[in-house]
Amino acid sequence: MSRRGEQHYSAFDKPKWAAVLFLLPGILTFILFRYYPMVKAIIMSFYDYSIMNPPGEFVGFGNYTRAFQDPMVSLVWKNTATIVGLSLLGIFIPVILAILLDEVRGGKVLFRTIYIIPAIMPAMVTIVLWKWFYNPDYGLLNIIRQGLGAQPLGWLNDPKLAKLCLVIPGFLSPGYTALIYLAALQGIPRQMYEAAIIDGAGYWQKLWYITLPRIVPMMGIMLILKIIGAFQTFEAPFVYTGGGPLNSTKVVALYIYEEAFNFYRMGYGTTMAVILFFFLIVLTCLQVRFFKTDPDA
Amino acid sequence: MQKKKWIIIAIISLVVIGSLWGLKGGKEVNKEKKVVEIITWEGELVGDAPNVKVMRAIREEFDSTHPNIKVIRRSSPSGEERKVFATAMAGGTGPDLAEIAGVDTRTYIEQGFTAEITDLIKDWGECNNIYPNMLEPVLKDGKYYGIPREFYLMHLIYRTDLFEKVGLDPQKPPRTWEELIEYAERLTDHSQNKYGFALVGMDYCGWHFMDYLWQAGGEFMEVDPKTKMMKATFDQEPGVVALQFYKDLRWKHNVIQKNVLQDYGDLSTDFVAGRAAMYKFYAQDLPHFINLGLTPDQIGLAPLPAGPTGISVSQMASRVYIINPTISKEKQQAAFEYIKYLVSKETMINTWKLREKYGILSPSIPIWKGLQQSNLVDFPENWSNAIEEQSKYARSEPFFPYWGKVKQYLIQPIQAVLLKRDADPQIEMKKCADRVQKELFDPVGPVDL
Repeated sequence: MSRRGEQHYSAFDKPKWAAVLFLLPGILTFILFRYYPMVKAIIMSFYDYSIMNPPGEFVGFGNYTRAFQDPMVSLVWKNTATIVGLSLLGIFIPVILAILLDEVRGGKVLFRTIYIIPAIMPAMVTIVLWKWFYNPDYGLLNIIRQGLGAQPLGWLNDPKLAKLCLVIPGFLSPGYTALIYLAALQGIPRQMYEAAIIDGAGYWQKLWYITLPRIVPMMGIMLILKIIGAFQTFEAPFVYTGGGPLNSTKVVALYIYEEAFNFYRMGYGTTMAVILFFFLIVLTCLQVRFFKTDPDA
Repeated sequence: MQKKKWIIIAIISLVVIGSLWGLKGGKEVNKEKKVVEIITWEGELVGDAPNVKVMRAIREEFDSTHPNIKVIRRSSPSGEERKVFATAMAGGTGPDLAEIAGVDTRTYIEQGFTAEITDLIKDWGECNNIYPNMLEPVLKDGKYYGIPREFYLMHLIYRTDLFEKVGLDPQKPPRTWEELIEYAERLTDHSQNKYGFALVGMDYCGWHFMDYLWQAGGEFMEVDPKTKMMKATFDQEPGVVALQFYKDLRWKHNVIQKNVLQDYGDLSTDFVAGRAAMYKFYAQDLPHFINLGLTPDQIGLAPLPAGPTGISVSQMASRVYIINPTISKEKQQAAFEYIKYLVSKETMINTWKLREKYGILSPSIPIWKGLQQSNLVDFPENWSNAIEEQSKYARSEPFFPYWGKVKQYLIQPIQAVLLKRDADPQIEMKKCADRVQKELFDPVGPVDL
C-alpha cells in the first residue's frame, strides 16, 4: 500500500524514455534506409530525372500518363499476374509437408534437416542449376524425357512454358515455409486431439476441424508474403531468360530495371515502382481483411 | 662547474635549433613538386599471369615517367559495367577517368557522364594522325568527349580441328552465307549435341544482327531529307532477307543451338568444348579462348561471310577513354596525360611486344594511321590475313537517337523467327518497324544528324 503523494511504479509504468532510446537506432536506420528511399522515389516519379543534375525537369504526372499508355507496361503486368497465379499453385505443398513432418514418428530431426538444407542454399545457385537443367540441347530434363521416349521440350525457349519454368524450382523448395507451418502445428494443444479422439473423430475430421483452422491465419500471412514476393519477382527472369523469349517472362520489376538502368530513365522507372507499391498496399489490405479469422470460433 | 653547465646547455640548444631548421627546409623542398592524384577503376594487379605482367609493365612505365601524377587504381564495384558506372556517377563516386565501350559514348555524353575535352585534344595536336571514322563516337556537335584507344571487329572464328574431322579445309573458311550453311550442315551432329554455328538469340541479339542486315545491303534508319524525321528502314527487303537467313539457319538447315536464349558466355563455352564449330566474335577476345584451354592452332579466324551484297561487312567497336566532368581542371589535365600515354603509338607497340613475349595473341586495331599490328607481331598467318581483309569492310555501330532501344525492339522479330517455325520475317519486321517508328522515332521529331 502506497503512502499518499508518493509515486509508485509497477513494471508497466517505468519511464518510457528508456524504451524510446533503445528503439531509436533501429527506427532511425529504418527511416534512413527504408522510408527515405521510398519518399525519394515518389518524388523522383514526378521528374524526368537527371542523374548528373538532379532532379531534372519536372513533368508532373507525365510519367504516370506514359506508364498507363505504354503497351509494354500492360504486357509486363499481365506476365507478372500470370507468374503470381502459377506460383500460388504450390501454396499447399509446404502445408502438406508440415503435416507429414508433424505426423512422422521417428527421424523427425533428420527429415526436417533434409528439407531445410536446400532452402538455405542461395537462390542464385538454384537458378543457375535449373538453367542447366532446362537447357534444350543437353539439359537433364530433356535427357530424362528422351530416356522415357518423349520428345524434348524447349523449356525456357518456349514462350508457353517459360513462365511455368520460372516457378517450378520454387515448388521443390518448400522446406523453409514448411518449418514455419510446423511450428504453428506444434502449437496446437494435444488435449484437443485427445478430446476429439474420445468423441470418435477420425483422422480427416481432426485435420479439418482442428489442424487446418489453427494454421489458416499462418497460411494467410504466408499467402500475403508469397503474393508480394511474386509480384516483385526479378532474379529468376533476369538470370533465366532476360525477359524472353518474346517478352513472355518480362515482369514489372525487370522492366523497371531496364528502363532505369539500361536507358537511364530513372523517373519513369520509379514511377512504375511507385504504381507497383501502391497496388501491393491495396492488395495486402484486402488480404489482411479477408484472413482476419478467430481460430477458436 | 657553473661555466661547464652553461656550455653544455648552449651546445644542446644549438643542436635542437639546427635540427628544427633542417626539417623546415626539407618540407619547403617537398612543397615545390605537387602531386595530382587521379582515380581509375583499372584495379590492382595480383599475381603473375601473362596479361598481368603486361599491364604491370605498362603501368610502371607511366608511374616512373610521370612522378607528378599519382594514379590510384581501384577495382570497380562488382556488377554489370554500365549499371555500376551510372550508379557511381549518380552517387558522386565515379572514377576520374574511365574506359567504356565506344557504343555507349553518345549515351554517356547525353547523360552528362563525360567532360568536354576539345581544348585538351586540340592542344595535343594528334587528331590528323588518327583515322577520322575512329573519332566519330567521341565527337558530337564538333566537340570532343573522349579518346578512343583501339578498335575491334567481328570475325568468324572456327575450330580448325573440327573442320578437319569432317573433311573441311581449315585454310578455306566459308566466304558467303551459302558456304556458311553448307559448312555448318557438315559440322552439325545433333546425336552428339554438336551444332555448326552458334547464333546469339538472347537479349543482345539485335547487336549481332546488325552485321547481317548490313551484309544484305540494308540500314536501320534513314533521315527524310525534307522533314528531317527519322524513318525505320530495317523492315525493307534487306532486313527481311537477313531475318529469313536467321530463320533458315534454325528451321530449314537446323545448324544452330536449340537453346536460342543461350548467352554469348555459354556460346563461348560451347565453342571451347567443341559443341559449336563456328561463331561470330571479336578477335580481341581470342586470348579468352586460349585461357580456357584451346591452342592457337585450333582456332581459325576469317572475315564474316559475305551476304547477298557480296561484301562481308563487320561492325567496328571501340574502347574509349572519358574523363569525369565533375573533377577539377587540374585533375582533368592529369587524367588526359594518362590517357595520352595509354593510347600513344609507343604504348601500343610496347603492349603488343610484351603480349607477344608472354604468349598472348590478341589482335587489335589501333587508332593510328599507318600502324599495323601484324607488321610488328607474329600472328598465325590466317589471323593476320583475316584481320587485314575484314578491316576493309568495317563500319561503326550507328549512334542515332534511341539506337539502344531499337536493338531492344529487334529482339522480338529475331526471337520470333528462331522460336516459331511459322513466323513470317516480313510480318515480324514490319510490326517491329511500325512500333519503332511510332514509339521512338516520331516522338523525337526532326533531327540534325
